[in-house]
Amino acid sequence: MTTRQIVISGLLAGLLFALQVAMAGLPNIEPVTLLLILYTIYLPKLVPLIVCAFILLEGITYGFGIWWLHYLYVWPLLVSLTHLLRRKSSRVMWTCFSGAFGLSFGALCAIPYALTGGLYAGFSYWVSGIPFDLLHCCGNAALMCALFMPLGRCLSYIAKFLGETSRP
Amino acid sequence: MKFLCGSATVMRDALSRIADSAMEVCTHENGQRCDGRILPFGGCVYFFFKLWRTDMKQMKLLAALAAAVVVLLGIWMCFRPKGIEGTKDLDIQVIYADESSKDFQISTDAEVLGKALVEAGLIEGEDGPFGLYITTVDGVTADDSLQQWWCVTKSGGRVDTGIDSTPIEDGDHFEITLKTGY
Repeated sequence: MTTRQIVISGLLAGLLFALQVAMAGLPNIEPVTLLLILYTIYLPKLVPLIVCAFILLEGITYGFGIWWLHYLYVWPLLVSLTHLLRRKSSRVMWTCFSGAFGLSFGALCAIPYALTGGLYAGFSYWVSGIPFDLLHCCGNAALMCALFMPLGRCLSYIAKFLGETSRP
Repeated sequence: MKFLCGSATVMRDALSRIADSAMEVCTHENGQRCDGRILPFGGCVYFFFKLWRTDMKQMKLLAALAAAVVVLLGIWMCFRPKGIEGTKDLDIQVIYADESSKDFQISTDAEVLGKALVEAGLIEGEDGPFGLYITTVDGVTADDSLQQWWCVTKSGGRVDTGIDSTPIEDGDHFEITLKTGY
């Protein structure tokens, strides 16, 4: 990895974290899903470093509680799924994908609770958060729908700047 | 089946006409389209209906997402935490930073814990997007600079709901503990 790539990774991780903090007051409406999907599509080599930096920053800022365990697999899972679908270019497809990820976020986060407290504990944790999952779905879908193209263009410039092919 | 297909076609045609009208809203006087980026409302309406006019594969994706939303909504309606009407007696134990504690007995008609504690004057808090956030219990305020926060547990076990959506039953025992460190 070149110095330029490391610097850009740091900047993009910082941007991701700053936007997440800026939007923290809105219930489950966050730019992280959108940006991670776009980073994975346009800058696949940088994304592992960006995700690690982001997860670490979250822990340092908000504490390494049980909620932080979710981040260890939720965001890498998103990146992995996006990597599998990276050849798709339809905005509608990505809108549905990010909406579906928002819907499943609560279920994914319930896994540690189900493992530690039993299936009922996991289920009740998931059910109590369903209204927030619905908001998460709407927020993710709206952001992806509105910003997929313009941000994609910005990231393709960065990819060219780094000498990477903009899309696989 | 024929009726359904016919209805879908009629609906699609109607949506197309609405989308065309919305597109006109998004057209400048000189005829150049702003493509939904300049007029936010017109743009949103245009884009929403433009989605409906995309090919069937994308329509199916949208329909699948909508179906998932409906299923989740149904699950929540069936299994969401529900309060019970009537008078309830609650035991509340407040545990302070120095690990000393004080017990309170509350009699309430409220259906959720937050309302019962606020009405009893035991807690104060701030309403946020995630519901009520407890800042003060029994006159003791959590100090943010020390990363202090109030943790609510039920008979020693974790509570999965926010305090203003936690249902209560007669004889319930809750602990409110001042924790340090997030």
